[in-house]
Amino acid sequence: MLLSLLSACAMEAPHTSGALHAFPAGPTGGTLVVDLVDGTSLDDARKATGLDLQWVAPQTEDEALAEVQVADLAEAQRALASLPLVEVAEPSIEVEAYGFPNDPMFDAQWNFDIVGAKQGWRMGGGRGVTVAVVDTGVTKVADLEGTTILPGVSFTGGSPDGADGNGHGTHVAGTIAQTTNNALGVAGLAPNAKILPVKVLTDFGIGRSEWIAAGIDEAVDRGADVINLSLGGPTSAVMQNAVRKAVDAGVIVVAAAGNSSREGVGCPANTPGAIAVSATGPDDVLAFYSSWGKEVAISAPGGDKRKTGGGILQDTIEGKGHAFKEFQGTSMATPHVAGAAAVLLSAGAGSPDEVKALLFDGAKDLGAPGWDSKYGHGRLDLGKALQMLVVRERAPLFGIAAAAAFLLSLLSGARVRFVTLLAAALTAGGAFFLAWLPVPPNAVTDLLALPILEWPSVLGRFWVGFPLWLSVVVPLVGTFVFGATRSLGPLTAGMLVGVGTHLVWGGVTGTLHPWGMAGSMALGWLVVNGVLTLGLAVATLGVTKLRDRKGGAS
Amino acid sequence: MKGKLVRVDLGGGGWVLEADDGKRYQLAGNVPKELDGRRVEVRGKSVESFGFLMTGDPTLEVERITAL
Repeated sequence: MLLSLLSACAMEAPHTSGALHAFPAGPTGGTLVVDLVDGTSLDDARKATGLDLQWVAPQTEDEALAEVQVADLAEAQRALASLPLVEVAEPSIEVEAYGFPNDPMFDAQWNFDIVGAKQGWRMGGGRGVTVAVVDTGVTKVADLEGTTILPGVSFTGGSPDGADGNGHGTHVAGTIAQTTNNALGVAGLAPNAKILPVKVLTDFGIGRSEWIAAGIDEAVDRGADVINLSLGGPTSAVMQNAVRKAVDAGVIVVAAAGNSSREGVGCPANTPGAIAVSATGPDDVLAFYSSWGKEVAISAPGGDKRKTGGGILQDTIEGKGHAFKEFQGTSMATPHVAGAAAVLLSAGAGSPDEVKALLFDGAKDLGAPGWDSKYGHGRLDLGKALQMLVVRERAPLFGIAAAAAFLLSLLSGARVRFVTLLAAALTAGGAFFLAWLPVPPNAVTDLLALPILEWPSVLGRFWVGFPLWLSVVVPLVGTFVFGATRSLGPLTAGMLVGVGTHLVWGGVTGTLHPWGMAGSMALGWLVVNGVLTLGLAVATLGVTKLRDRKGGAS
Repeated sequence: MKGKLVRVDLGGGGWVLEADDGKRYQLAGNVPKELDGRRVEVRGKSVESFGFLMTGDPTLEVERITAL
């Protein structure tokens, strides 16, 4: 009877849970692990549960540890919990070699698999980046507990703190920054990003153009680096103006193309400068509901609930509690792109233009070759975009700095030391290869993977481009403190070469942006400070040369 | 305005009126769930509004909705 009950359960039922309990199961069937009371025989267990239980392995008969395939894990777990023969029942969790992520429902997030979320977690995961969710508000549900949610704001006259009374905004925030690797529910694309809730839609999901325009302005004023707009409607000049001002202020604005199933991109996605996002399903084909048109810049998974497990699964509000729900829409595609933009910023992309270039060049080309009005530049592929960031910026800097250290060592007559070359390369290019090490993503590798000149970004994007950090000042102090020491001189020289090379490179390529400077002024600042830093490196190498000679004579 | 009330599964979900005039309207306001799929009469005004439904249809702000 129990078996028939289980198989009759609707697979797409919302996955509700009490707020205090870890949600146990994925949206589809799978393996349920059942720890029986010791001494229970398989026959007794099968009779009591009505399930075709098997021992996990012959050796587990002693511990009475069994498993079974079920159609609905959550329902089966609930049903078994009340049986006296069962001590514990929980879904089997596939554990990677280094156990990341341990979110039990991550396997249901096909969308994160195809966009390369794992690479993103290993390259900053949005650390230091603020993403404004301009929507129905955001509520800190159980699977957002570990996510930084900034104080919110509301323009709808409802809850003043930007809390969500609908569920849409919380779901969108989950795609961007759901708490990840917390052994609960699902993952987010940029879990280290900070979410800024801006409520511009009522709890019915409707808003006025002036609320949304004001919300966009407020997000810019509160320091958003990325603005997510999973909303739309008829063209509004006021709203388009707000988007234009945000883009001019250096904010990345991502907006949903619309759900009209026809050609014609809604507003604000149709504003020049905004990144308009169309939606794809699990089969990488334009979703049945998605709008398309000449403004579409990129597509991303928005889900297709006509296919089992084909929606986008995140945690959101359900009554007074929370539930893991599958949603579909260009609303769901948009936060994939916003989250990817946050990851690219945290991985060292220096400007909105660079982020856009990486998103578009890295996208998987679908539909007609090259850009087309359905998929834009293609379907989001964050993994590829990050690879491009490494190949275009980090690897060249790594090599150029090492080569510069080699040449400057020769020119100054010092012995060419491996430590100097390595220090130069790591300082300029960052230890970006740490992203491929089989260790869980963490703050230390996030920092070490960045070039030293980009370290302030972990404090917040505000500090990127702090002019004193992009200058000869810190190298000067470093030189005086460590440059003349026997043990640290060669290392210091290498780091000076790394910083100097990166400053010059950043000026010439326009990839470093000191505050308040543009064009030739930025170029001048970076090149002059870079050359001065390289001068300090030569001086430090000169000191090591003298030590070499002294050492050689003694 | 009369027509069929339809629940649309986009974003967080919303209501659309498939009106007898052949047009579709997104509905803003409180719509009782039990009316899903039924013929209804909606009283309200046409408004320019934004939301997550984004079906591209005009919005009707619901003042009163009754089953027919």
